[in-house]
Amino acid sequence: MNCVDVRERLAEHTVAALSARDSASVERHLAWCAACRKEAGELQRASATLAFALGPEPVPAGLEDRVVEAVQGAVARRDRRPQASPRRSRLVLVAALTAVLAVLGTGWGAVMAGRAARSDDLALREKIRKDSAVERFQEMLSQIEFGDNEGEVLIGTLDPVTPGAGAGNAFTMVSPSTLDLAVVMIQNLPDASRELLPMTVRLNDGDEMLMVGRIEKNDLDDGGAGTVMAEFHDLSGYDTVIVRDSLGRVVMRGAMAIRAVVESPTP
Amino acid sequence: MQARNDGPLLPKEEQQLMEGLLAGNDDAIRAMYARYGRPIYSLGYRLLGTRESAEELTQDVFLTAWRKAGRFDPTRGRLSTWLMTIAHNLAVDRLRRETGVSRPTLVLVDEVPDAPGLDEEAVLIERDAALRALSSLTAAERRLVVRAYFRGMTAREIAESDGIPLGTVKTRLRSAMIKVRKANEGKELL
Repeated sequence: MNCVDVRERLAEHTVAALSARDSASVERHLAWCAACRKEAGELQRASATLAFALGPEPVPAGLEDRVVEAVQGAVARRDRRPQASPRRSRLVLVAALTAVLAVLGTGWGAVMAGRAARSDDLALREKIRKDSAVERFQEMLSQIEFGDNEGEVLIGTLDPVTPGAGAGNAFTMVSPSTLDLAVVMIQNLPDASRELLPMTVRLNDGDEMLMVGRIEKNDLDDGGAGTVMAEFHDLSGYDTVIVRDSLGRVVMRGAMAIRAVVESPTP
Repeated sequence: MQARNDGPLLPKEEQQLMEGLLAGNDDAIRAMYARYGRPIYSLGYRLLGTRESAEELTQDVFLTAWRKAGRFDPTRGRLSTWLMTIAHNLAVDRLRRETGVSRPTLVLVDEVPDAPGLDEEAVLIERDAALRALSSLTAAERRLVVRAYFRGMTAREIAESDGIPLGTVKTRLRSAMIKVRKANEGKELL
């Protein structure tokens, strides 16, 4: 679903008049599209006012105490729960995300090619490819069990500056309690491009650059895939990935387009 | 924690209430309940049809608000609308999960005698805004909004039930929500 499709459905979404399937598609889009999310938020706030139009009902005695007990019971259960090792739970999350990115790297190309081939317009074709990739990311993310991590995960796709010169994916984890993490995976690097290794991978916040790592020949597997990973004190705002070859030329670039909030498990 | 029980809250006060809720602070939970418990319960009763379901919904709304407290941003919207959005979503989800729910006839506030002294000033402000929004709609738009928002019907169900084209339902819902949003412009800043 692209922005036009979503905007056409936002009013129905706001009053819960969409089918469950369409509603899920809209939600996935809203998770990464800030412009549509802003529009949806304004409609949502307006529609919420409608609830106050209902005639007031007498509230049962004792409901207030039961609400207080329910919330305080949840707080007590949260406080009693043993804390998982942050390092171990983070490793589980990294493994899950890396697996998702690996699957997407090999799996989405064919699907996107089919959809994009139906358009003659290059810009539109590229937009379809990106929208679909992001949508697929979001679907996969929704299936991950995040464990005991908290914070947010940002995910993006890397596009080659020259068509056919590989592709990639990246994610960052921004945590309030532990070091932040960046993982960048390069895939389908053609043989010709391997002569331009090592490639350097950096994150940019629009002002400063951070070095994530360097991909050497030995880091690549037979399929032309390699991964770099590094920890930082604060990756907030670092939303662009830039990959340069050994001559310093930009060969891939990507924006962290999807944001997923990672919460503690429901008590 | 001391929270005012009269008049709309400032964003900072709403944030403090949410922090109190997150910590399980007795005063904060009771202050939130005093302001929003009754509208939430009323919405639950009108949508779900029984007092038991409305009670469960009210508890679920406060628990959900506790779980999602980190996502509440007072600079982007009022606590009242955030809570009512949670309440509406939970109620519609439940309505669609359960079959054979019997619901009483929907009664909007302008169709019943007011109950003076029972509601907080902030709720009365919201109620005025809601009635202003509904009165800006045509009869056909209002009927659609009521069936979708308050009865939990999908656009397709409304089209089939009323014998009107699905496209017409969608178009009318869109124009209705544009009017509702326009009627609410500026209210969030109160």
